Amino acid sequence: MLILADTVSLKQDEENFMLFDNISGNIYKLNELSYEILSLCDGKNTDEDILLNITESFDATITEAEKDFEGLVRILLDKKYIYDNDNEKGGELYEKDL
Amino acid sequence: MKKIYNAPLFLEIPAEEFYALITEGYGL
Repeated sequence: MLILADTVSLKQDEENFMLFDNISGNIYKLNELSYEILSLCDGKNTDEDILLNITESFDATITEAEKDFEGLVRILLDKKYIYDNDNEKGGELYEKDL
Repeated sequence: MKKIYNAPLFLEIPAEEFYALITEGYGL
């Protein structure tokens, strides 16, 4: 299951959604959907739970939501902003990589 | 009612743009 790395912070301010990389200082602009996906990466929700949540909240087909979800997850895994806690642990791996 | 679906956005922004967003938001 996916979990947000402890090196990043999510912030919402009115209609602005942001992700902060607390190590590099990089700032990313999100929209409501990507913010919601990241918020659901708590190590408890499965990918299916997250997709179900998206299709319940947003007017999207499961195919469309799944394609976009997988694309976003791939980018976030590459950047080590999220981890799959079935086989990796956020933070520890990050420090080893530095 | 369901929200309008837009593809997920994940866009790196320069710090200056971030501060502009924040200061506008707070009327500063």
